[in-house]
Amino acid sequence: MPVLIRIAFRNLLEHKSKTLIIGILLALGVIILIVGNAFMDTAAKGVKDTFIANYTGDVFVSGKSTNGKVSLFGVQAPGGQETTPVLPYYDKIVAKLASMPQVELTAGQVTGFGLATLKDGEEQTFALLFGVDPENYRRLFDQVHIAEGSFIEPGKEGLVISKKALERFSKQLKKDVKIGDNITLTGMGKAGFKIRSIPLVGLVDYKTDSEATDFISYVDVNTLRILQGLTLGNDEDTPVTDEQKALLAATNEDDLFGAEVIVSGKSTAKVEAPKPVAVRKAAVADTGAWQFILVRLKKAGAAPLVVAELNRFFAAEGIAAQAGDWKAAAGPFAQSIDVVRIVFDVAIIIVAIVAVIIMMNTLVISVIERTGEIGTMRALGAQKPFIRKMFLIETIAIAIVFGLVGMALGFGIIGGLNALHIEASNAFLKILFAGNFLHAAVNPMSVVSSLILVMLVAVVAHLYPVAVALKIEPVRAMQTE
Amino acid sequence: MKRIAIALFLAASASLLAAAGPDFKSMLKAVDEMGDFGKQDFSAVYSIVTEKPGENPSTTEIQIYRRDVQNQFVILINKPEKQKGQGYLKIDDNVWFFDPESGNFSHSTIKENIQNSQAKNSDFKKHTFSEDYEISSTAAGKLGAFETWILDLKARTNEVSYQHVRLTIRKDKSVPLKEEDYSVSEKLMRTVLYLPTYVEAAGKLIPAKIKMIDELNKGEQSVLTISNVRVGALPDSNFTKAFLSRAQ
Repeated sequence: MPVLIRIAFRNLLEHKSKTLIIGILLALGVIILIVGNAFMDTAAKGVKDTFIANYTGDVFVSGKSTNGKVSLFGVQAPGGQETTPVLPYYDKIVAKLASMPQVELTAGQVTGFGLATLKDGEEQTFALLFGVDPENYRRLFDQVHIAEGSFIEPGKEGLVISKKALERFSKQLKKDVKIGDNITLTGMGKAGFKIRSIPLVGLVDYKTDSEATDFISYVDVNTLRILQGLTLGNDEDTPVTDEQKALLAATNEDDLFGAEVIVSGKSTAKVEAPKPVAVRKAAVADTGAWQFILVRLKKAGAAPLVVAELNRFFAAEGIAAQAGDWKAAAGPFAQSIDVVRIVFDVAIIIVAIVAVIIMMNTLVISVIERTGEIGTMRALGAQKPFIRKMFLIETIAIAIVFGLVGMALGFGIIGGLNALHIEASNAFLKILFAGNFLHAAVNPMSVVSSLILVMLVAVVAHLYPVAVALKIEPVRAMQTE
Repeated sequence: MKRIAIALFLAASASLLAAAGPDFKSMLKAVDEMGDFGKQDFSAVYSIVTEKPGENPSTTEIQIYRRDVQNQFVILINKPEKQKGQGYLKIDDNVWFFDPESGNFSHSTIKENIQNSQAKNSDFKKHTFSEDYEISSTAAGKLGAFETWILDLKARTNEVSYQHVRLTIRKDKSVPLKEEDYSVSEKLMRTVLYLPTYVEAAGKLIPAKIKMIDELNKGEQSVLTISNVRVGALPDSNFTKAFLSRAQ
């Protein structure tokens, strides 16, 4: 064995240029993998931490919809107009959660969309509204920082938006919006459009911005329930006349176009104004109506277990609800980082294939150059496995040495980039940086996997050249010298 | 020579005959003018029943006031009870919503569907087939007891809801019986049947029963019945935000 190693190293030193070409390729691969993975891991962890700490909690419970996946942002259906289901048996689910030792805190939520205007204003802007019970919600998301004013007071109406959203509101409503302003919210729900005017009571900011921060506004849950039509006594049916029923049921067009009927309308010089209808009683919010429960666990790692237990509980009790992790809650907002990851992985696969081809080519040339040497070795009694091992040792030696070089350079590059304190200038970079500044951290697992991957690439690349080397007939090989 | 004379005679009579055929443009204009009461205001009660698969049919009853000369209308919701008193006021391109519970107004645009039904706001404003569309082909047909003309209309502008409309019009009166609305990709989006029950007001026939079928979402359809039609001057105060808030 030591003989083999000696021969292998001698060969590597004798063919310096080829060793260097292969080595640089492998080192580059390790650098790309380590730096790229550091960014990807940091971004994924950043998005996860941001969402768990600010919006989703560790576990998310929602109703079920046949029209698409339910996330904290509604039902992801084509067209996007599906109603988010109300959570059935809310109290029973909360009681179940309270009985689970892993659960630390829970909070209910209703999500809706509204158009925001200033009172009597003409301009409007879009608002994604999180209807919350302020006490529970603040306890659960204690990291959300109140930058100005206060959070919604329990039992009172109020709107809280992010500082980012305030900029957008001011721009789109064409007026400087400030705390204390009354914001008119128009919602479209089961009871037609509902308009409520509520005061802007506070501004929040987040440690790290995310795609969602621009949109989310917090509102007391009862205001949102009314805007959404989640009110009591809401489901009465207005009777349909027999004639209307017949018209709806008719399928044969020719039957509908029988004889002509003419009724005389009234042609009056003056039409009287409508009789005033009775004064409306304000709708009463259905205080039992929640769409989601957000859960914080004592240990975040227990999320898969808790999700599984809850889903078993829902199935056993016949409750049309589902539990998921933060990713299920974040829905469309968590997907962009996955897309970036997929693009990165595909790029790595392509780079790996190209690297294998280049290395294979270089090794084949190396083998052809060494035809005489290999032939002589074979003639002196070296068996095929000996030659095979020799090449394998050469390849692994290159992979280890240059892999370590690449690793060192990778760490250096990450350290250098972190030291530069680069600021994310656009939304995409913010996702990639998982915050406002670039700060990548290397995951030890990804270093190990990068080295293994590079080793694999090298081993795969050496298989064909070895096959070429083994085909060399000792006699003919010696003749070429 | 004689042959040439006959040929000329035939050609001349053919063109004369063609000239004597129906004037589709003015037919379309007549359809447009069907709901046009000129300088007179119009008010009516529209009852819309909407049916969706797996849901109970829902009824919406609205009172509508129209002043076409000034491009204004007011819609007040009478039914369902939970929406009673909600209203819209449209002046030119502006629409204000009014919520009687909170007494608040909200300013908005005009392209939304009315109460999730197949009816669009544009259905309540003056039809302008003759201005917004040009006739691309015509054919004769029969629908139930009525002899009809079938007109294919292509949109002149992008502002209309549908790029292609096939309109079936009665031969004896310029009244539409059926409207098929197509998308840009020639997909049938909506069929509207104007049943031959009419309210006669100010010398015009207004179809009083209209069935609208959503061809995109199978099983979704609406039936619109029009009653309490009145034509005549309405007070100016009817077309104000104050009127909406008073009507509660």
